Amino acid sequence: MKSQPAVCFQGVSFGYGSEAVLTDVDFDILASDNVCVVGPNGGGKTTLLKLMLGLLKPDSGHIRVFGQQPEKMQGALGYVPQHMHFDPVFPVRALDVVLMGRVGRGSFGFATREDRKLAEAALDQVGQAAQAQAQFSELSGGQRQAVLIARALVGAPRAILLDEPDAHIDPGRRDKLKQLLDFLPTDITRILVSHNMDFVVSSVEKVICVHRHVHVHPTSELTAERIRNLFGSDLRLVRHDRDHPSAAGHHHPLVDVDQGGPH
Amino acid sequence: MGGFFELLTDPDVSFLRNALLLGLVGSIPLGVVGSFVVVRRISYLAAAVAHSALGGIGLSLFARTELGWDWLPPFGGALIFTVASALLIGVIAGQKGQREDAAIGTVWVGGMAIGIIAIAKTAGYNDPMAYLFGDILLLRQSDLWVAGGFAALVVGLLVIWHRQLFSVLFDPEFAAARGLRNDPVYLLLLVLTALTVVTLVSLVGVVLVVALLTLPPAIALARFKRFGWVILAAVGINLLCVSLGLWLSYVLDLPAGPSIILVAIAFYGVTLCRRKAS
Repeated sequence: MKSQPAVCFQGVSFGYGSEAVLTDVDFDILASDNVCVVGPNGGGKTTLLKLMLGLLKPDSGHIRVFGQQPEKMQGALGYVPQHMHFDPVFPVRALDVVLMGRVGRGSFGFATREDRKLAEAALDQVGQAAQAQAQFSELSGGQRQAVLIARALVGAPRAILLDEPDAHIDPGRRDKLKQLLDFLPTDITRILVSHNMDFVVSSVEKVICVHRHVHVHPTSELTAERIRNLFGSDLRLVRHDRDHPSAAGHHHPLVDVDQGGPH
Repeated sequence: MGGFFELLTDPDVSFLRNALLLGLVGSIPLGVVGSFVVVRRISYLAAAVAHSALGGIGLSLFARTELGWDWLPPFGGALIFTVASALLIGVIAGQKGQREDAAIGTVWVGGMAIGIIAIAKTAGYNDPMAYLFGDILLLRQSDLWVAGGFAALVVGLLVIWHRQLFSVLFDPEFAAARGLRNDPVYLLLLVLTALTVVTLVSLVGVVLVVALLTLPPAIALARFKRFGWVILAAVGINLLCVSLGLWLSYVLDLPAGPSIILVAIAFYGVTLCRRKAS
């Protein structure tokens, strides 16, 4: 069912102080959509996510998440933040981290047996069941990211928002993370932020391009010209025109964007 | 050793028994709250709150003597002052662009300055040292009941809110995305710190109480990786420090508060050496 918008932005503008970050943004994300938010660093991608999550309030315009104000729907969104500045000596196991995905305003007292069961199931879902008792700080970057995805999933969200999940992952481990993202539940809205188009998972249907303004494109319409307009002319574009088999068996050409560094 | 136990069980001599009981009761909230304080790395903030207690103690002594406010014990003054200090620091820290360290410094020295001036202007002899470093001769039976009530309150509140607090301390942004408001949860920890500090101020004083709040959890963190075990171990270490410290103070004829603290420091030193050796 794709009739109800999961996220609806109408004339939204936002800035930090006098610096405008997003201007007059209009778009819808439908429930069960699988979208990727792309754009240059500092273009407003993370701000867009934080507005959806109700962590920031727009200067003007309206945002609705599943028909409600974002702050009223926080329990319905699973969030995987970009930077987790965790304390390496914080005494927390992988299972404890996942259990935090069950904690909300009404969480009092100890975790229930059901909470633990769901947390263990979520860890299993991301292939980290064996790490449940391991210290979070002792996990590899990829394992930590998987645990954070489990934490986002354990609250049975209606949408999952991932902010650059590949940012701190070794290139060699990105394929595993990609596989993991390809197998996220398809009955929830999936919103992935990335500035690395090569990382865009194969089943993405729409790309939301953010660079102060926002444009939505089906993946198949994404051309080198559009990417160049988005990221700026100093970027090197590499069109692979390779096919990525999607979960549904369709093929979408993807475009890689390299931000100017030598290959 | 025998003399120590005889004195503890002597029905005519209550000060040592009261000190031990107060230390044991206070060890529980100190270990529990201290564990949250240490993992959040806000020991300096707890120290400011503890030191500010002197302002409340001084003002209540002044009010009792000069204004006839007999209903306000030093304990009550310390409570009002520390909770107000905790809220002040918490609110300032929550405002963008404000210098949290300046607020902490102001509360820390401001509370002490007010306390010393108030004590100086109070008729009769009041030794500030007793409040700074503790004096078991000042303990009364009623302190035990109040400390017991505080301990139950602090531990009860933490049992209710510990998951929210733990979540906010570990990852504030994710917690906020789950609908948890960071500032009130952080303020709760600061107020619990204030209540905890007040519980043992009369035994070890405003200066030394911070050591019992922070050293035992730091020792426990070096050994245990699960937060629940860290809390239990911190409570256990506190119980040990209080018992051993009071025994040492009796045997060697030393002030009780500093003896307790030196035992805690000795344990911490051993932990550091063992960590270096491994």
